[in-house]
Amino acid sequence: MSFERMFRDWPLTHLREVKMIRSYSVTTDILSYKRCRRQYGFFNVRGYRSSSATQRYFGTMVHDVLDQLYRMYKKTKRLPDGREVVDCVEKAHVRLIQSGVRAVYTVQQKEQIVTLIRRFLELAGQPFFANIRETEYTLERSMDGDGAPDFVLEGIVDVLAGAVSHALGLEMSRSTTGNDVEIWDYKSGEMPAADSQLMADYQYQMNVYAELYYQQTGIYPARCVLMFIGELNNDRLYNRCRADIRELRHILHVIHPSDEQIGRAMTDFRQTVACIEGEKQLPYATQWQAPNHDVDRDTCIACELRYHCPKFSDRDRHRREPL
Amino acid sequence: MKPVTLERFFAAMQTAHNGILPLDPQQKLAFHHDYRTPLWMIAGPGTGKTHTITWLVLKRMLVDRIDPSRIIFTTFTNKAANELQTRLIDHYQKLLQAGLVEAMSIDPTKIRLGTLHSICTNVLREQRYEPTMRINLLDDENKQKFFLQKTYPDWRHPNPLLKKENAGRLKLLLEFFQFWWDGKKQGFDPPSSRKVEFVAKLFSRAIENHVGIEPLRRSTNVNLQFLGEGLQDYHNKLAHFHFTDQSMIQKHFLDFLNSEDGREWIGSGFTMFVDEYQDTNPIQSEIYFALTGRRGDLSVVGDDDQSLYRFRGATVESLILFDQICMAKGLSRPQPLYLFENRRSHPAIVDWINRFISTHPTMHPIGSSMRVRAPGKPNIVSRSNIRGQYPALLALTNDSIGTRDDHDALKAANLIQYLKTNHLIEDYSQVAILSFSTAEDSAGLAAYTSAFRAAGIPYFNPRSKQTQEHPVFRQLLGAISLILQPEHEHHVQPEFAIRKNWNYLVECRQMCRTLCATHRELAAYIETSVEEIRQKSTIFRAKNSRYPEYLTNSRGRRVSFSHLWFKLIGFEPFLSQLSDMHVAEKLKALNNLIVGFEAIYDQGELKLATAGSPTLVDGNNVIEFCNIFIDALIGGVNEPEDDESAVRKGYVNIMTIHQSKGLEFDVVFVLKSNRTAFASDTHGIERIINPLRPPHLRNPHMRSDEERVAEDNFRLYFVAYSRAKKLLCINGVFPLAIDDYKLRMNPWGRVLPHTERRAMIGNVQELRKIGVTIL
Repeated sequence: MSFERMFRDWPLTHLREVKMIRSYSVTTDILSYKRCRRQYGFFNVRGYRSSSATQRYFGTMVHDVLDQLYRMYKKTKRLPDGREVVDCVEKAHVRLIQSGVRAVYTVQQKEQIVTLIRRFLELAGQPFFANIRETEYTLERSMDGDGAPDFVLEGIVDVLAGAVSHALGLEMSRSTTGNDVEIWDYKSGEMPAADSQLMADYQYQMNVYAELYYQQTGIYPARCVLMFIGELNNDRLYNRCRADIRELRHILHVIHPSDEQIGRAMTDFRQTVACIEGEKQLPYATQWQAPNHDVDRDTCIACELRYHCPKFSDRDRHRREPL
Repeated sequence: MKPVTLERFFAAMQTAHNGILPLDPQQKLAFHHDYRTPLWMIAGPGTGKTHTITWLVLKRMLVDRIDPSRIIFTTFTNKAANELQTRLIDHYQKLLQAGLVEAMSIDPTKIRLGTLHSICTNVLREQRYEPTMRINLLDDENKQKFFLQKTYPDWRHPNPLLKKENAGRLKLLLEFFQFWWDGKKQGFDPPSSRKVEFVAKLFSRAIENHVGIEPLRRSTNVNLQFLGEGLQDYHNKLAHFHFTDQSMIQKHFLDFLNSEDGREWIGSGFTMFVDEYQDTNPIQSEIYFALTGRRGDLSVVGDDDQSLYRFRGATVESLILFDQICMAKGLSRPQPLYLFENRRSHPAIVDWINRFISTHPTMHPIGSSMRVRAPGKPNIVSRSNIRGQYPALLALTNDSIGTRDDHDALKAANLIQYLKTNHLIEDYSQVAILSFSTAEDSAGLAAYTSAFRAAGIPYFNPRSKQTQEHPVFRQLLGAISLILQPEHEHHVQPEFAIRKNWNYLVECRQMCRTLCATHRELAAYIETSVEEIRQKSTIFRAKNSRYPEYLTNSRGRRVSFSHLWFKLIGFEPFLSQLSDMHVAEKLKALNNLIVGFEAIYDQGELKLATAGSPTLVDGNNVIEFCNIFIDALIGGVNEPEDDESAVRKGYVNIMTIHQSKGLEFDVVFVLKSNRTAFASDTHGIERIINPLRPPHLRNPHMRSDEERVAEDNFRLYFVAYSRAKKLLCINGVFPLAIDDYKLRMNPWGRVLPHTERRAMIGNVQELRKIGVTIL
């Protein structure tokens, strides 16, 4: 029997477009994409893997140790002493090294972390820990793509706190109350320049978290606070502050979420999601090209794709070097 | 806020679906279920299982007012989890658009939705469970094998099962579990890679079956004692080096749930939804019951006829005996709820799959109360819009004895071309080729891929296990080997190297050298790198150090395997290949394997050898590369899986039947339906381990290995056949003679009712009599 005869009663149906609602995080997706779409596409979308993990050591250690110390505080209702801080740092170090994070000069780095954490506890420990509501608080919400594909917005907030600022007596352009909700985010380094891209990224992240928190709870946080623990490394400033955190101007950066800022951040977020989704629809060979905008050199130097990336001016030299 | 009434919920569903409530009477019953009793939903293929369960989850939140953060919804794969999330949010948005304003007060993204593994990992991390904080996960079988072969702290301390002096005991253990091994291959010593693979499997099965080390060690059987020793050592090393594997993470999770912190976290219990329950293993079953807080708010959904993962420790009895297990757990006895209205397939296909699964004695043991299928299971009923008087069931076969793969493949290619050229299909991805194995050297698949190439039909076969043979993959690997082992001329096999690995590497090296003749920049890079190692080695050897030193480049960075991979892809021709999806996926497979290997082997960082060593780079680096990494490669490498999409558009998708689970295609070709299935280590391990499980998890009526093999084979082809929407093409041959064994294996005879068994179909005329058209 011919195929024509065989299938003359074949039911015609149209190919169904498969809908996919993907999750996007501020840091892992949006800021990574904005920083360099090529790097984002290769590592976050296509699934190439890099084994380098050196840069994560210090920041991860600070996060882990603060988290553990808070848990100890929750159980005992007292601030950990110096010995406990050292033990906690040592444990966190062993875990990190065992988990494959590579680090250099770990003895010095550990000592530095112990110093920073001890100073932090001395300056802010009690009011800070006493007002923490949640740590590593997950925010997640499905969002209307507004013409672009819908998506799930996700983020993890380091600390969701009550009125730490109120308890610390920080001077604010807006008044504080004991019922304030605050989002706190630890940064292990020093405060970047006010007009730097890094600072802009941090603020963007906080504005999106504020909106996400609102979407989830119906209220905006009173403020978002970036805490630059690395500022405590400056002995001169530390000694001069006389145990008063308010004297250290650069340790805390407070963001009061405004409709305008949040609106701008969310519009940008949606546009970036649309760009990423659009990129996935392009022919394979033209996806994830090097970006048209400038990429900072540190990003390129840390990127394993630099040996052939048109954005990295030294690519030929780096590639041809032996090993 | 007041709860939504069920009537209002249904009304909103109806509005969201153009005025029609998208539930059949059986599906509707699930919405009226009293959730103080577990829900036991058995859903045949194409009966709207995912559709029902996602709406049901929304119903539980809106009507029953369950807090979304107290709902756990698990499924089998990341892909399925992505699909569930998309559907859940999509349905939720539809309810809002339908005017159900109360829905604004719930947030479906707060549900814990994912594979059980991802949920275990996330909860353990969130709860800062001490034994698993920042733990390394051996998240695939290769990594687990790499770990087992790593002999911490040095080469003198391998796992007892892999110690040289225990080779005889291991062989006894292999024979004990793999009875067929001794029978088939008397005196044959399996290769090291096979031994490691088997040991890894044994450890995983023991954990998944909730078998403790002590029962093994206390056993009177010396083989089980030996296994206990090995398992103890494996546990110790995982703990010592802060690793865990896919099975152990479940044990960690169960330990956490049983701890004081865990009980506090569970509180009054979660509302549980478990998809694909037929592929649950005993430890997972324990976890699900624990998570409900013994309340019984547990909804399981699955199809026992589609249970495929026995080889990964799944026990179909979890679903078939669910009522008895619930009662053993002190819960009320659930009644099964069957979904049987199929909206996927042409009635002729539905008729075929019904005949296939519901008549044969293998699936219906006569005179036995033993359950092989869920009790009282009805046939599925066709309710599909796909109709039409055309032969929806085709046989690719002929009267001659034996296989005629080329002939059949050509017919298949012609048919696919006809369908595409005449726009009966819009895209090649509407066609799937399913087989039990997609390795191109087996199952006659090579004949099909060759026919497709000749006909210009694009096909996609990511699980070919042939990635390691792709020339670009091998050239890049050859380049790494040339840099790592410049001192080894290709015709001289290093003393330490396993012969077959070295032979493979020699070819790779030669392919790279050939490439270098036309790509001078690449050649120069390899030459200067080799020269750099020689110079650094000379300087280092002069120091007479007792310990190897890290190999660094001119920027002071330690050189690793993955670093070399990234540098090499910067050169042509590799760079251009990154733009070609097919080749790029193969290069990515190599990248992923290298990074997985490095996670176990000191980040893959290379060291310079000490004076007196026959190699420039440290011997351990070279030996691990040759004997462990290459060993894993030549066992067969698949392309990495895409977590988002199981089907590649624009291509005929060739996949294993296992891969096709949960998918549907307009046209399905099922190859080698007459496959002869043998009892394997899977069945041997299951039989021996069953009595060692905790009493309530034991299967009291385990059938013989051979009977379980036959069951598995039926389920496998049931899944394959039921993927087809419009056209099912079955490839199979006629048996040489009619006997019981051939009856079981004959794809055509399997569909006959038991009473007609003797009138088995032996030629195409008899096949036509039962309504099958011959292609």
